[in-house]
Order: sequence, then C-alpha cells, then structure tokens
Amino acid sequence: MSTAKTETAAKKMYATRDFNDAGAEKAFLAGKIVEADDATLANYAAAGLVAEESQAAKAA
Amino acid sequence: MGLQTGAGSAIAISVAAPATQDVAGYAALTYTEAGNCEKIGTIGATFAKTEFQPLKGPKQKLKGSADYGSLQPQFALDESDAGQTLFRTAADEETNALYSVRVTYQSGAKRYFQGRVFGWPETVDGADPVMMATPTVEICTKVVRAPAA
Repeated sequence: MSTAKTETAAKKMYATRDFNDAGAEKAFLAGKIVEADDATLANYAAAGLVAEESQAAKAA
Repeated sequence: MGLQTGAGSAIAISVAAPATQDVAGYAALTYTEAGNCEKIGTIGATFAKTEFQPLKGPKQKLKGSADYGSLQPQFALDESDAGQTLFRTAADEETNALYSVRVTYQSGAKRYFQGRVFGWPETVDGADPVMMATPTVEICTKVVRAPAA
C-alpha cells in the first residue's frame, strides 16, 4: 500500500497563511518562520501551510 | 478509570506512516490535532456473518470478511486550523495514499490506524448553525489500541 508523502524540513519553513494548531495551542502568522520539529513541519507542509521562503512569499 | 464520556477526546492526523503496526510504531509519529471537533464517530471492525443451515442441526455461523469500519468526525469548519486543513488535504488526495490517525479518549487511551479520507463535505445549514465539515475516514488497517498511561 502506498503511504502519504512525507516531506522533511531541513530548511527553514515559513507560514503561507495565518493558521492555528489546536493540539499544540500555537498560532502562526503568514510569512513568519514556523518553529516546529521536522515531523510537525511535514504535516504542515502536506497541508500547504508552510513552504520554503520563496514559495511562502508567493502564497502570501 | 471506569466510565468516561467523550469530553476531552481528540482526533489527530499525520502524513507519516508507522514503521510497525503496533503502539510503538504509531506512538513514534507526530500528529496534528484537528480543532473544533464536535463528534468523532464509531471506531472498530465488524465482520461479515456467514451462515450455513445444515439439514440436521442448528444454523452454523462463521465470521467472514473483516471491515475495519469508518469514522465520520464532525468539525465546526475552521479554515485556519492546521489539523482540519490536513484532513481536507487527505480528502483531496487523488491517490490511495494512507494517512495515520490517532484518536485520544478522555481517559488518555488511544486508538491508532491508517485510513483514507473520502471527501470533505461542508454544510451550510441555515443562518444560525455553525458551518460544519463532515469527512468520512475509512479505516484501512487494524485499529491499534493503546491503554491509558
């Protein structure tokens, strides 16, 4: 069975828009660096909530 | 802990797959909780009933194929919520990719499985009710049960 793609986050990731993480009780602002562990960033990236700086700037 | 209610329960999702289909495999993953969840749904496999009625003797009943079941969580739609957004991403996924899901009970007990999200319907039900999203999560692996710590 195939599994969802996991993206690693060796680079700094930026929020593509404002969003909240209910479980972590954190809020993130568009264009700002998102400080989180790689696995959390992988979830955010899959959801399109974070991207590398250049891509985040385009999305914002 | 004896009886419990649903209060405090939560559902969370991860793009990662467990290395092993057991508590250790699933617990090692990082999940993103979906906020504003009103209901989670029913978790657990059911089995098809296969019957045979011999000419002599009582009807025999055998367990047939397993269906790991499905969940239909209900969320107050919040487009700024990371967990909801990841559920919606899973719903939009056009491949058969599996996502890992963790349900946490009030007691702290957890249920883990992998599944696919079949749609993200959003309901506008009049002026007053909060807009809801009701995805269907089809459970595709055995549910792994982790007792409360």
